[in-house]
Amino acid sequence: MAKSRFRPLSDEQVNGLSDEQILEQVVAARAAGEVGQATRALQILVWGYRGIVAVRVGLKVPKHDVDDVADAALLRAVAAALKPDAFRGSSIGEFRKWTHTIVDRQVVDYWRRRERSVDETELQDEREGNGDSWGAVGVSEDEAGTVDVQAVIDHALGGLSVEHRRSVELYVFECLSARETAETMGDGMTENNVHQIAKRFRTRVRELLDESS
Amino acid sequence: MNASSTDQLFAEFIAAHEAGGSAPDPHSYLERASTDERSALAARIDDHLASTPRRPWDPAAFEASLSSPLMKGIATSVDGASGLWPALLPRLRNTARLRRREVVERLATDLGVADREEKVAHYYHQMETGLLEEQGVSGAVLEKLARILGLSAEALRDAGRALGPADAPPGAASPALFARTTATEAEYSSEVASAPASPGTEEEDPWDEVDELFLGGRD
Repeated sequence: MAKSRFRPLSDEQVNGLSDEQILEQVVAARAAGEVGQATRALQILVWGYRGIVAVRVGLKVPKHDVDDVADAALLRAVAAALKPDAFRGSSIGEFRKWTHTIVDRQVVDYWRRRERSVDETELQDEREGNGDSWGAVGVSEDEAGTVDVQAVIDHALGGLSVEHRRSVELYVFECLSARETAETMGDGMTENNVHQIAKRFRTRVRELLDESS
Repeated sequence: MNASSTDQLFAEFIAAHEAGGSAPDPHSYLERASTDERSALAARIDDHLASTPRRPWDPAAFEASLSSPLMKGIATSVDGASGLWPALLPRLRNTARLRRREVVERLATDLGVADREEKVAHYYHQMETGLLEEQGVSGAVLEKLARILGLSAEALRDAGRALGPADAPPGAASPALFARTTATEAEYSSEVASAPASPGTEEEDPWDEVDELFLGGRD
């Protein structure tokens, strides 16, 4: 990030800057002790992408975790972009590309370290099985960046029958309870079936992520 | 559903996005696609969103967003000395489904200082509230913490270093400011209320391994 002299700007003026210029404004304002201006500029940049990032994350992550994953991805992108000289001499649009790369990495990290949900752990069979634990896995930046998580999820979904796929969509991604999912699916499906299908799906996603990296 | 139908759904999504300014929920479009076509449509929508610039300026929507945990965390971060840790660490904890005291417990254990968990809690609290400078935090702490929270130590370091050096917030590391909070989460606030006391004076609590880990420098 190139250093620049700080000049106070209105919100609208900040929004009219490129992403990279806003980042420069944040650094310059903070260096000048203008905390309010720095805060506002950074909030404007993040606000501009928050909705887009949340929708992208929502395509790959269960609904109840979308906000936290999207926020973490945006913050990681900003943090890396604020490194000295991060985008010096780069073209406009670099921050956007970088942000979406980090979004993809954050989604991969999410699936790799996904802990079992509370109601799943209520199941005796899953409590006893520790081979399916979604414990934390350290992921290097390079490693995570090579994985196409959308393709991984698609692949895992593609290996399911139509009924099982719908069950995963409802339970894992749309966050219906197991009971609601079973009732929606009908045709004799039980809560236990829903849990088992979800467990196998997550195991498969993790296997595919490991194979992809 | 044939290919043109998928094209139509994608076109409808784009039109709704352009008309509304913010990206619409894609699930209502995906549900209308056949099972076979759904993944392809999701990929097209994803690609489109990844190349979309910031949303158009909307002062009312922006102001409304400022009460969100993300925006409050950014404000705390810019005003503090810990880079973006005050904004990022609570988000990572939530995703990991860990309460602050659970993170502290695991961190103290992993660092081999389980018997000084209160002191670790004090320093971790400072990281989340913008009172602890990144330069003082050792690589060992960040490696263990990154593993607990599910990202790389480098990414965690970047977040703490973001925004550059700043004057230490008034009263940093002071017991008087220990109750400072980001006020972003009820869960977090309630934990702060029961946060352990800060380390005492040198006479009461001499410099030890935990101080070294959090204040002694990067390596």
